[in-house]
Amino acid sequence: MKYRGTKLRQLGINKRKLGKTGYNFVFGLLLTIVMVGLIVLGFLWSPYDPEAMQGSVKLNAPNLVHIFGTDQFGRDIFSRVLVGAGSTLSIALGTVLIGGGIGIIAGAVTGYFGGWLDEMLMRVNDALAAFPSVLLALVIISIWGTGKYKVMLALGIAFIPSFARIVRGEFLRCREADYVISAKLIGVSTPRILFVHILPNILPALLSSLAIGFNNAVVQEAGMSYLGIGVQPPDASLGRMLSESQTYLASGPWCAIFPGVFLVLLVLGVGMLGEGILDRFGGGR
Amino acid sequence: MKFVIKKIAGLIITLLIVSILAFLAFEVIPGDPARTILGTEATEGKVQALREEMGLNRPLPQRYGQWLGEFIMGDMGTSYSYQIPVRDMIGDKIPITITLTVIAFFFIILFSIPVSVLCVRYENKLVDRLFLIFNQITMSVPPFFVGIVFTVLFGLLFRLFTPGGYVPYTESVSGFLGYLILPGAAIALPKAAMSTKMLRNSLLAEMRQDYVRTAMSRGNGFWRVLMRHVLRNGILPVITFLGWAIADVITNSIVIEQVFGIPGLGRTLISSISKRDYPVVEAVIVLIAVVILVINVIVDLLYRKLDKRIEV
Repeated sequence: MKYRGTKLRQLGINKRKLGKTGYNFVFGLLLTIVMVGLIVLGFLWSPYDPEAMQGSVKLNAPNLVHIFGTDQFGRDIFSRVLVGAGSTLSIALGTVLIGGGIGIIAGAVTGYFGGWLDEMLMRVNDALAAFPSVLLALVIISIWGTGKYKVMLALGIAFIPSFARIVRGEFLRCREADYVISAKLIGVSTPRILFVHILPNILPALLSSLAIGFNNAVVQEAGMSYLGIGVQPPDASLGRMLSESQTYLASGPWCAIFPGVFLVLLVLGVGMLGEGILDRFGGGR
Repeated sequence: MKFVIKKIAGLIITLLIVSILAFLAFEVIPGDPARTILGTEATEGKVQALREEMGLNRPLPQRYGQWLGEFIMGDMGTSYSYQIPVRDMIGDKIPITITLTVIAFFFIILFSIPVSVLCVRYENKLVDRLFLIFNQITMSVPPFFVGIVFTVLFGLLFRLFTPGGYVPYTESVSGFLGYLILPGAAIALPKAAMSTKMLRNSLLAEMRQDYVRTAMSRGNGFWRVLMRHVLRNGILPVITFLGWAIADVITNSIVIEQVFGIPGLGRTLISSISKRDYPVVEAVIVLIAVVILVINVIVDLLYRKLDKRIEV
């Protein structure tokens, strides 16, 4: 114990601080690994066919055969939660990929170069940022229609402004840093400076905002599918399971509780991981 | 004063951008509303006549000007699916959604101030730790799931309310407000957890300031210092957050109305999206956007007013 304490002190880590900040990171990482692991497992294998209806086991409470119980058609809820969470996960990842990808490029270019392009894009960005991303996604959905890929695109586009804003701020901060100036002096190309030199330095802030974006995407996709304007049948989704279960809340509350708790645990894990990354690797900020 | 003018000018520019985007999104991109109204069976001549009547053949800037003017005067067009003015469709639903939002917002404040003060008083003690965990978890729960849990708990288990038993305010105001308490709490809970967390950290940071030590050393008690000095300063950063939270509270009420069967703006919006009833969708979304933008400016101005360190 004593050895560990001195070792930590040698590394310049305050033990109390580690206990406080490492907590979020470690717990969030573990929870994320477990939840994503379960979902990946769901892609490969599930205890039952998620669509198979069994008349004999309608609305069974959780038991050893069906650990999360069964729904009104006798379908196994655990299998359905895995599949539903799988599509929720893929939509959220797609959203972060679209919104983050375009947002990072836009933010990097505008933050690094500044000038009229920056000014113009930021004005539009301000207008869009004041406008909640859910509403923007709803506008896009109402014009394009519903469905898995459209939800992904709509949310992805709606998230671009917030990512662009964060990345722009970080690039603005790093633009005058010594290592950027030296890289410029020895003739490193601009794209290389942007994405090989600066990007890794803003990784903690970027990763934590990606985590927040991921969570927003999960929650909003679930909300939209719950409202019937997101993922459409036959695609499964946690939000749709929640809305279908609402008629049976009295006779089978587990139909709603398990998909919901699964969603909450996924969001909780990723959220704590995001906070943990910022606490742990965020540097002096 | 200069700041106020600058803010209001910024607001007007943003509102114009939003209106242009809304006009493009709903009046230009979806295609031909004349065709939509008449259906695919109608003859080309009839569609042309209606296009002429609706003014669809005129240049875009002219159409935008007219649309904006009519919108400001309260004429938001006619619903495709019900053939009645949009204004009549959403007019009586606005008070419902506003009441729900106000109740939710009230709950956020009612929860976060006492709880964060408690956490600061007993920093790192059991109460503080328990609320820390509670907040971290509730922050991750989407409001509509809170709504479902509330329905199961309070509606079916404790039978404190009838799920789906919405009472119109024209019938009984107390019954109406009573039914909105749980939906309001469901919207508030995740945001309240977030603002508690922020307020706690901001209060703790204030407690470490020199002026607190000075006040304490002059013999003032903890509560007196907290109430008279710390809370005033510590709440400032949270006000900005609350301004942002209003936007989320409004958008979350869209989903919560569906959970509890409240016939407010949100329900109208969702059913109109499913039916592709563009004039209604457009009116509701623009209204919500305007409210959010205006509130954000008010919050900004309020912040300046409250923080004596910044000139207004």
